[in-house]
Amino acid sequence: MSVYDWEEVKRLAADFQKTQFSSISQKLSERNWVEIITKLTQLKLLNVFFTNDGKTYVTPKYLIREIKNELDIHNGRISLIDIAKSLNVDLNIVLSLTHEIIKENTGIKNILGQLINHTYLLYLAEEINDRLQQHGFINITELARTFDLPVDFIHSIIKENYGRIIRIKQDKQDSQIYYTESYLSQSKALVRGALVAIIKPTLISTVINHCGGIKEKVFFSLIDNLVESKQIPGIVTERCGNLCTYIPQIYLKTQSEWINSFYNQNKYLEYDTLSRAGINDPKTFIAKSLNCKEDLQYLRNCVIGQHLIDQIEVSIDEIMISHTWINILNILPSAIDIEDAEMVLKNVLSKFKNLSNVQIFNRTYAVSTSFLNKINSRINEKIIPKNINEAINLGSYEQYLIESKINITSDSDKQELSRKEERKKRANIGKSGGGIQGRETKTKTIKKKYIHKNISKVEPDEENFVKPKGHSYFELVSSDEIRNEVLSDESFQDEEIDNSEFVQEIVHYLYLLVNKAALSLAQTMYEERIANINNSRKKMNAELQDNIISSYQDLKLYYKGIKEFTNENLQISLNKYLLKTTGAQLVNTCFTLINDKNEEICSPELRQKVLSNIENKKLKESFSKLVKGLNGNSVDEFICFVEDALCTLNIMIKKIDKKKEKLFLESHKRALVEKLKETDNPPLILHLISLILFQTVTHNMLNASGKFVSSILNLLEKRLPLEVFEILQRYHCNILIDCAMNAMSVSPVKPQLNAGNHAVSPTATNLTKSSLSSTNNFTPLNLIPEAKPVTPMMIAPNTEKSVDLCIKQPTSNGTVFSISETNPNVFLPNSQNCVENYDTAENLSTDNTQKSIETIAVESKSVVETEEMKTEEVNLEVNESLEITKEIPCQVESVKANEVGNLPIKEEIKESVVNTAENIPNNIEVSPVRKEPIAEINKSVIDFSKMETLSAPKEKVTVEESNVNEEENKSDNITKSTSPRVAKHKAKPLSEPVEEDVADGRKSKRVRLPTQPYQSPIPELQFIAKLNTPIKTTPKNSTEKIIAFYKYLV
Amino acid sequence: MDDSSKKTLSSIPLLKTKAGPRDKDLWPQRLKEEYQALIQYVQNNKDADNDWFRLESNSDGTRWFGKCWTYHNQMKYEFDVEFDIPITFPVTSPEIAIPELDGKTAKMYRGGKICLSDHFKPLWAKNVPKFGIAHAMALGLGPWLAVEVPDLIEKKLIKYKEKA
Repeated sequence: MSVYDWEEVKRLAADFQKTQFSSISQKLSERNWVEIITKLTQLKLLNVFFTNDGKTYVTPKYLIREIKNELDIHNGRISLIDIAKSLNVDLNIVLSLTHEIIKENTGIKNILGQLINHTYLLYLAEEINDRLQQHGFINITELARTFDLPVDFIHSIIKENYGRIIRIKQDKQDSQIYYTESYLSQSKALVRGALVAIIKPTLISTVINHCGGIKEKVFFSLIDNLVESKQIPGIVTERCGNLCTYIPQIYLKTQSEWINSFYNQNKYLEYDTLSRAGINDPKTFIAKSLNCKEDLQYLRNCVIGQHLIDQIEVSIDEIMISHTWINILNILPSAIDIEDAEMVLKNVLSKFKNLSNVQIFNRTYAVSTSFLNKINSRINEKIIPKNINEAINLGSYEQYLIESKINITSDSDKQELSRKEERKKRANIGKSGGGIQGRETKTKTIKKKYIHKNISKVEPDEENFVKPKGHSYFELVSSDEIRNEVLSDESFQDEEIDNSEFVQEIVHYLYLLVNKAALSLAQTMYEERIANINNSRKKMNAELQDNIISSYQDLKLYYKGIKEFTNENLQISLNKYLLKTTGAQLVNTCFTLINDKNEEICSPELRQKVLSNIENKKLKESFSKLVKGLNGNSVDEFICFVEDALCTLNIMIKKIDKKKEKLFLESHKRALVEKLKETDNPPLILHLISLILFQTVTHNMLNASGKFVSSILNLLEKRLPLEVFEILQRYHCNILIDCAMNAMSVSPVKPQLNAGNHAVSPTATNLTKSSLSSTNNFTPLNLIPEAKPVTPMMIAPNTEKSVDLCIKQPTSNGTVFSISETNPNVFLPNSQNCVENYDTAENLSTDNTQKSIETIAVESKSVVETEEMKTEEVNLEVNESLEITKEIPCQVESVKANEVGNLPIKEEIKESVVNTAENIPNNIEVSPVRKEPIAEINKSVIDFSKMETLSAPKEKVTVEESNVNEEENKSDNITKSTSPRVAKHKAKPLSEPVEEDVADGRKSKRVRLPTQPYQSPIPELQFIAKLNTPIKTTPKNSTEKIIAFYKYLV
Repeated sequence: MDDSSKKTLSSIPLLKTKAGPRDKDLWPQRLKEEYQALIQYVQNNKDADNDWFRLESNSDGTRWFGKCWTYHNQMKYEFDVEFDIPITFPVTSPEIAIPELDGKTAKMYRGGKICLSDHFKPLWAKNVPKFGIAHAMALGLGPWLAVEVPDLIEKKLIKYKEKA
């Protein structure tokens, strides 16, 4: 088997070899094919393309066919990229092939990488047309966007198909837009309708909104179209952006109509109203559209016509004629404001020829100058003189002058120069205008004082008022005064409108004017017054000098009188008193004289002040001495000082000759008597009487206070007739008792004393009065013996009976009877009158005396009570009362002396005449009544012991009583020589006209004499009247005393 | 294994006899089958215009020798090839050698025996006794040449020899 096998192996090996060497069949592998084609393309023997996967070769022809097919499949429009993808070939191959295709085929276009063929173009055109039909208009850009094609291409399409497929109009302004005809005409109709319907200016945008759907561009093109073809009634304003307005013609027409009518009616036009009516430029509009031939005045806010201006002119003419003013705002329509009114007013005034006749105030007020002048003159008349007087009197003007001087000095040189000029001018004016205010001189002293006091009180309010020139300004007429004056004018009466600003301005204007004038006037008046004051000052100085001299003389005389007293202590105290009174007065007048300020100097403080102000050393020295002397005791020294001082003052002291001395004495006496007449106060009466008696006794004047009364009485005691002194003493005592009782406040005794005093005091007063009349009338009586002396006669016939009668019945004819007895011719006719008079006088006198005594009583009582009855105090009180009581008896005495002296007159008139004031005291008697009161007083008051001691020796004097008549006769000659002169000199100081007449002429005396009984019966009647009432309650004592007294008189 | 090599492999008929040269009885059987397989494989190659070797054996079929070639850049590179049938054949695969390339490449054992791929031996072991010399050529030397020769040419270790 194996062999077999091996053989088979061999065979198989051979087969194997055979197959190995057998030829290979002719068959190309794929690899070879690729190589072959590559070789062919390299040799350009074959044109094929690989597909993208490289497995397939395609020929260009095939591709072209495929591309065309693709284009058709995609409705004629396909992008190259899509083609390349779908054909699975390279894009470049497609691109190159499309070029070939477009070259071959005109219907196919390559647009932006897209192939489009004719069918697509047709479709596009139809599509556009459809849209146009649908919307009416079409926008190329929109189309381009939707179709994703360039605008130009779409344009070209439209152009190609214009008139065939697409029936449109291209917009003239915008080539991108196309409309259909129908759309255009439709919109046009819409717009036209809308615009025609509009009647007021409307924004185009609102119109567009209303028209709805019409685009702005379309709208505006349509409007332009319509305006061009004049199919709309109105105008369109210039466009700025989208803002423009359509203004219909009808609106413009009514507007201008309204403006015209408004102007025709009101003659003015307000810009505001125009702009509210929708006119932007009123001025040009007015100029254009106002049918007005007049000249228009263009103001800030309005336009006014000539008519209004004419009106203003007329009213200004009016005010010039009627001297008033006008507020042109009232004439002008209310629309015109102040500034415009001011402008109008200025314009109007500029046309006036004489501008000075009208002035503008507060912008719109035209004021005629005559109106201002009117008020100005009124102020000049009414207020200025008054105010200037006031200012000068109050001193404010003076102050101003001083201030202005100060200011001038402090100001710069330039101002100083100008001020000086001004002052010169003023001074010149002042000189020319003087002489009117002459009467001011009388009041100058008082005014001057006033000025000094009020300098600091110049009203501060006024100073704060508008002062244009500051410090150196002085207000003479206040603005309020001017305002009142202005407002008082008629033109302001009926005005309800508030003119306050206007008034304020007028006031301000006038204020300066008036004050300027007033200031210059004040200057002249002031200068004038200064001159007057200087004159009067001279006069016053002269007066003062006179005063000084007279008081110097008084002093000397008083001093002489004091020397009558022997008691040294008394002398000293009297000297002191003299210095205090007369000396002080003298010094005061001296100081007043040297004082610059014309001030009366009456107190030591003021004296000191003045003394410190004296610059002259000599003067100061002498005056300080003077003051020192005043405070000292010695009158001699003081007189020396006074003489020194007067020397330094250059006042000549004349030595008193005897005549003058007598004159002095006489006048002094008369003055005392005058006082005596006037007073009802018993103590005072006693005081005066004692002084008078002193003078008559000693022929020296005495200046002593009430406390010296007792001393004086002591002195008099020796020299008076006892009876007279008795009366005095008794009266004195009565008063003392009265006062003492009052001081003790012993109630049960009081009424008695009162009664007694009632009895004494009236007698005292009345008697003194009678004595006065007697003393005064002695001279005429002496001269005319036929005319019987009144008083003494009246008293003389008062017999007991008559007195009794009088007491019981004051109205009885007792007195009258007695008068008629003595001198029936003269007195009878007046008797009734006298009686009547006394009836009336009765009540008054009683009241007065009662009051006076009561007051004393009360005073002393209270004093005593409060001081708890301390003896010293009581003494003082008593002393005082003593002084007072002393006075009364004195008076009584003097009176009685007269009466006594008159006794012989009954028989011998000449003898009675001899009983002059000088003679009587010598014969004064003391009434017997005196002892009783003294006894009473001794019980209560210690001081009365003195009185007794004093009175005791006087009783001796009374013995001489009987010799009175003889003595009287002795002194007869003296009185004859002296009394007439006295009467002549003293007639004037004695104020009673009756006495004057008596003294002046002899003839008149007869006529006048009958008046004398007025005085002479008084004592009795009054006395009786007074006694009448109190006596009812009082014991008979007092009445008895009085009766005794009268008995004594008889 | 790629599709083409599978296809090639499948077209080579499988062997049935498991006998080596020492099996006197069965070896010719086996050798017979071997030749049949080779003939079929060569025939297939020639049909596919892919004839690439020549082989002949000694009389007892234990030693094989011949030539093989390959084309690179349209040039034919031809090498001598020889191998022995191992005693343990068919369990052990024959070790094919190209002596002239000995020392020129790393993928070669001493004596020019080619270094077969890792896949070959397991594949062979799996298919004992179905795989024979034809399989060894198709799976072993064929791919080796296709890979190694262009590499060697690039390294200029082998040069094209013009036919004389």
